[in-house]
Amino acid sequence: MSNSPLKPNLIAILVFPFLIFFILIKPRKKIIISLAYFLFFFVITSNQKETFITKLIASFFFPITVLAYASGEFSGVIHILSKRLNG
Amino acid sequence: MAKLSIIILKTREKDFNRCIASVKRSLSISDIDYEILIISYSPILSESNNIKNILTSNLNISYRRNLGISESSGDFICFIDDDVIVPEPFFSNFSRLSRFNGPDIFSGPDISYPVNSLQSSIQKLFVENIYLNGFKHKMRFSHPHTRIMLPSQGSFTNIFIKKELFLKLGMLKNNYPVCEDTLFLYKAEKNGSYMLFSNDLYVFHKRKTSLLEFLKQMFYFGKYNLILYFEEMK
Repeated sequence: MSNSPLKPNLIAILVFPFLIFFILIKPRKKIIISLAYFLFFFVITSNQKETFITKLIASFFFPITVLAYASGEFSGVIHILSKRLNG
Repeated sequence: MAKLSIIILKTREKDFNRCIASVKRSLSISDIDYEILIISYSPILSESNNIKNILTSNLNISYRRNLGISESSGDFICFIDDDVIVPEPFFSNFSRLSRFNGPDIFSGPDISYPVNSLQSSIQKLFVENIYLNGFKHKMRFSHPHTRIMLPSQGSFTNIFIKKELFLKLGMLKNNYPVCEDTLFLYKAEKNGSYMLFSNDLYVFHKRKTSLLEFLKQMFYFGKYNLILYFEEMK
């Protein structure tokens, strides 16, 4: 399994501000955004034969994996900066 | 017919046994002239004329692959991950496709093992739909059967590369634990090489065995994606 790092993804730049935004908004908006997210997740996984329950559990895990990727990107930035600062 | 050197890095015993059995089965029904190079830290039992075991204690993936390339005598190098199962017509299909003279690289899609556990199903959903080759994976099956693609969209899970490309572009870089394959394929792309991508060259690829491992993998992909971009590609 591999990826194509031709361009760095913008996940790290987008995920953390979105998290702050999500924490700050009103509960009603939180529900609407969550429903839209679940709908999106079910649409993009519609070609898979997994059960509804599996997809539902997977949709809860997905943000955690995005956070792992974004944390990796931040770690990469720190790696590059520290290398440049040390000459 | 060009000679093929199949390089397999042995890391997981159980997966490796399954992989090598499927490779042998597929080769037995093809007319291909081949050698199998197994790079491992422990000796294998079934060494023969066509199967060569190269022992090394170095666990760096690029180092081990480079070792395999330098020991190979084929015109084409084939990398197969040890957690892959090769379908029977895999090498026969390559034999047929390699008659096209243009492409330097040949590859195909990787499909998840048939899985039963909840955790594997969740990963399958992520990998085949969202992450890494996810969207590409979908695209691959909806697009024409055999097509030309940019090399950087491939991976070393199941790939055939002309050996002369390594002589021209140099070996794999040792300093990246992941994405070293993409870096080489990116260089090939810049060199003007292209990849013939065929659905006939599909393999079954085992996904990570736990969600924690998957999270760790995502972390490293995020990290080295960025480092590669700033250090090598810019």
